[in-house]
Amino acid sequence: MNYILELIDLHVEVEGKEIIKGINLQIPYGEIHAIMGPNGSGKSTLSYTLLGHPKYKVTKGDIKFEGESILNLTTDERARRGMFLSLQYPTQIPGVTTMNFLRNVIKSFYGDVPIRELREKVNSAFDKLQMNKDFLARYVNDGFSGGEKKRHEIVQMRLIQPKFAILDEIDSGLDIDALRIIAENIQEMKSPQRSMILITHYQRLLNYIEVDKVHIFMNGNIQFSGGKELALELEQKGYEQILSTVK
Amino acid sequence: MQTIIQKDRFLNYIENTNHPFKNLQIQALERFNKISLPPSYHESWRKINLNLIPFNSLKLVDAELQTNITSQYTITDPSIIEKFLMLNIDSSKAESYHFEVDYFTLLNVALLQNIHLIQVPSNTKEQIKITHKAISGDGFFPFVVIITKEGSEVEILQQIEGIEEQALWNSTVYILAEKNSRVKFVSVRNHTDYEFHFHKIRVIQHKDSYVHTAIFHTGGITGKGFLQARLLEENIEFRGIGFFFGEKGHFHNMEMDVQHRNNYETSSLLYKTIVKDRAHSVFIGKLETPHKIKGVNSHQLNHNLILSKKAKAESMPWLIVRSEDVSCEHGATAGDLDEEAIFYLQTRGLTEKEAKRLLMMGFIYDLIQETHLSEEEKDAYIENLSNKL
Repeated sequence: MNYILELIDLHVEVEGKEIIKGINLQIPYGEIHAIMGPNGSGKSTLSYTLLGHPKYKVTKGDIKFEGESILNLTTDERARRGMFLSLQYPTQIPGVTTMNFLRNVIKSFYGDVPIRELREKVNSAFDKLQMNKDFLARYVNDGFSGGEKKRHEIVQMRLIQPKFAILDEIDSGLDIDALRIIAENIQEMKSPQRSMILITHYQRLLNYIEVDKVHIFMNGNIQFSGGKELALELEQKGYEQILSTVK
Repeated sequence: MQTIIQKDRFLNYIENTNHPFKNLQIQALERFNKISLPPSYHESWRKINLNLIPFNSLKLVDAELQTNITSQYTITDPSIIEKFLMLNIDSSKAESYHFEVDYFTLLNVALLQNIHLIQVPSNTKEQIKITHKAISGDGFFPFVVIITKEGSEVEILQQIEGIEEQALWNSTVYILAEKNSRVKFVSVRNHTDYEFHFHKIRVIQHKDSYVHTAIFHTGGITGKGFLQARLLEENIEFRGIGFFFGEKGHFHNMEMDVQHRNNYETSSLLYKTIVKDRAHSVFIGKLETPHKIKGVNSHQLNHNLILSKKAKAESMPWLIVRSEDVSCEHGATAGDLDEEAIFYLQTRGLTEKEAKRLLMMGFIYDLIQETHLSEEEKDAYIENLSNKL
């Protein structure tokens, strides 16, 4: 089978401390996998590592994207290969307006786009996320509510159209309507050519998104994997009970 | 220490010019020869090494400075012009408003190539563009006076373009804002790696006036800029902003100095720098309120981006507050670019260089937006600066 992403015995350190302890994971093209796990288990470390954050050092193992190791690629090279990361806490960028930011983002993937076409693309993505276009004149994520930041992340995903997306707690801090809108957009972007990892604490996101696998992540590794029903079971029983049953 | 530039070197030159104010120039030269370079113990000059200026190898005269001014209100009345030249050479004049007459002020008058005076009539709107472009030679001494009469609204853009040779710039701009006038002034100075520069902007404000000044400065081997505002009467608002970008071995010392003289005045200063390589920036922010005034609100901020280990940015706030019913604040920050923001931008496909450039442009965006520059002028400035970053 062809995998878009393969993690092979991946070990990761942050400031000398091992956080990820030998993950093996394969994600085929077109699939959406959910990763669930308690706080501090290493889920966000995995997402930063996949995009090559300089603080996260791979000490052993490999990350293959479309069959090739990406360990020697910079973050932007990984992004331009087709990897996208929606951060749990999207960064504020004072002084850079959202429109200027999006213009630069689109340029880095598609080169110079005529201003009219650019506006149409951006407006369309904003409409899809039901996001007020007044945000285009505001600085990136500066003063945005938690929900607005998450909508803005998915706006960017729509504009970039990545092959592979890691969405780190995209559902946190959202009200019911925002959760539905964001989840519908994610579901709509599912395609045979695009795969995703959803990192989440809650089953509710999966009510809207058809996931192919759920992985339980604890102590820096995947402890157990199953189908969509695992998320529901997890919410009812909790991590400890599920894992003790497995053992 | 006796001044390095001797009288005889310039006296013949000045006497042989056809300049209408050569008597005043000679007076300035007389005074100039009696004083020395500002001493290093003087707080304003402590951080700058004036011995680096190669006075002996600079000719300073016979330079060609091209100055263009677009205004229908330029005037040539010698008596008004004389008054402003006198302010710069005789501190005993009541109208001097206590601006210091120092080495560089006198040198500026003694060797000035041209003086331009613009007087905008009452209740008039005017947009003025002033460009100073160094064509040849190594000494440039422009002098500009802008008087805004009661109720007028004026937007001024001054541009200074340096020369790719060792040279000294020494300029003065006076802005005299009369009652209920509004002035927005921008100075864009692009100096080369070979230039020494000393620029003064002097603002005098009367009742109910508003003045906004912005200084955008790049380059220069060594230099000092002064922005001096004297808020004389009630209900005045003054805003001074500035930016310095330095690289290689550029050194710039910016002194912003606001003196409140009356009740219910507001002033604010914001100065930002980006320094890399071995560049060095010094910011001095002076705010002064005298005894027995009330309702004054005054604050200053200085933010510095330091992009390399050998670059340096210093912030020196001087607040002299002698009244009780006033509010004065100051703040300063220094640091590198936010690594998490760089990572975020890289996850969106921007290279590290592009990400840093975007963040740097973001750092000064609010300053540029505050000015009256047209969108085209703002874009041109950003493009020019972006190429240097």
